[in-house]
Amino acid sequence: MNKSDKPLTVFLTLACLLLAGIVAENIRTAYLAQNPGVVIDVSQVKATLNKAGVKWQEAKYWKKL
Amino acid sequence: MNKRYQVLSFLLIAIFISGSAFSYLRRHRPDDKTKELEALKIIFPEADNFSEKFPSPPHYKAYKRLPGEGEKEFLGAAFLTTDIAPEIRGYAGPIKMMAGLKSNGRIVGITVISHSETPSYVLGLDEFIQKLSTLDISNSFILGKDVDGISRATITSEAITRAVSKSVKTIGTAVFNLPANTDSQPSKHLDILQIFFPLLIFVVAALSILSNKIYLRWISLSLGLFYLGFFKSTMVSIALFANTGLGKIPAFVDNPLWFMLVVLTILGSFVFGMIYCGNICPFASVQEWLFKIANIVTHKSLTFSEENDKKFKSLRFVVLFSVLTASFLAGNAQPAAIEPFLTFFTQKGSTLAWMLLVFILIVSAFHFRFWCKYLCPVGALNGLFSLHSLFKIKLGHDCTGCEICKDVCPTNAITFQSPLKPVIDYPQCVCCLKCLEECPQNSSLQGKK
Repeated sequence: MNKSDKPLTVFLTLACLLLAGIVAENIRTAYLAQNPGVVIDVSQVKATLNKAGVKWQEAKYWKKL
Repeated sequence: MNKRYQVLSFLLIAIFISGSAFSYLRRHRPDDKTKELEALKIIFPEADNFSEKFPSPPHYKAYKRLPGEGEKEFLGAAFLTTDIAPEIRGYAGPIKMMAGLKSNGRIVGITVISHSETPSYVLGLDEFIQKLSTLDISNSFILGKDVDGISRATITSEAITRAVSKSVKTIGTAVFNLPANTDSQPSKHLDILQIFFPLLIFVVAALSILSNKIYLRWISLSLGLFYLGFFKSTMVSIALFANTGLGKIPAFVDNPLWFMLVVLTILGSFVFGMIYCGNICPFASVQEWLFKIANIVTHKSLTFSEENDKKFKSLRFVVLFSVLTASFLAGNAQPAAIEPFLTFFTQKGSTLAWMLLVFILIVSAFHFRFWCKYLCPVGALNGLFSLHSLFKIKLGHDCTGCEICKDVCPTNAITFQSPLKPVIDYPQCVCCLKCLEECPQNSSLQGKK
């Protein structure tokens, strides 16, 4: 590759990566729009666990998620 | 025609036909009942029983069992706005909503089951629906009076408001015998200006090509920038073509600009080549201005070698086929809403979309039409259409091999197959006419022979 091509090649690669990220984000939005049930409402999970007598703990694993 | 473009054209037709057929079959499969039931439960979460759908006007009744045997409380009626007002469509097709009404005329809730609007245009949709849900049958449902619309998504806001208003009033009067407010969001009248302005812009652009006047090209680019970009925030995006393939098309009276852009862009490409990309596209205009200004200020530009330039130009076809395929598989055009101009002109977008926009604008200042040349899927599509254009720039008549045309071409669309034979890569040509202007011989624009 020519030396003068390097900056543009880097820019183009970055633009492609951003574009791929946007496509992935949009596919996720499209999927969630059609399958709203997959969105986890943590407050509902908490309420259900409390109802069942399970003590809710803000475990580090949840924070990771 | 170049064999490579033949293969790409065939691939495009194959994706479009199979995608449209797949989408048609998916739309007509009987799975809507499940979604309707889910929506009913969202509207009336306390209900444990729903009636079958009543006809004229179509609606469900929601009940809650009471402790007594066989006793049940009537909670309200739920209905699909598309059942009652099927003629009202959003920017890119029907907006299917389930709404609930209590016997006192208050809206219980509204939930959107499906829509085809571009996501970056309707980021405030949930909030808007929430506001609409606080109204009742005594309200007039007029945008700006009872409720504020989604900014820069007027057509969508109006369509939702009119559909909810008509449905609520129909159900309120027919099912609950309630008096409805007779005022309502005025029905749409055909906006002649939305037909006139795109036509004017395309005529100016066509004249610039036919008469070889560069100042006319700048006029059409500026008109495109201000009318389509800043004023209407409506451009030819690949989401628009994906929606067309998916059969999600707005009503002509609601959005004549949509039809004018689709028809004129396709027609224009078959007559003049890349007329939209070269002479009208608002984002191209922004990029060209940036490049001009940066060139004056810094005198610096970045370029690829001929070999790499040719190689990377194929990327936009990869983008085109990827987003079209993803849209057809997803059943809506959301995966295709990737262009940075959507973010630029609507000022809405995710963090990644804003990052891409800023990035593209910076690089465009140092490379002529960086987005258009390497990544724009609309450019790729128009490029394939333009292969068959009626009028084409013809170089090489009395060619002396000076290669000035090749040097001045800002998109590197001209190559020399032999010393006296310049060849134009038409899907890359943005009709800037610099080659004709600079050619010392009698090169010209010619009709197909």
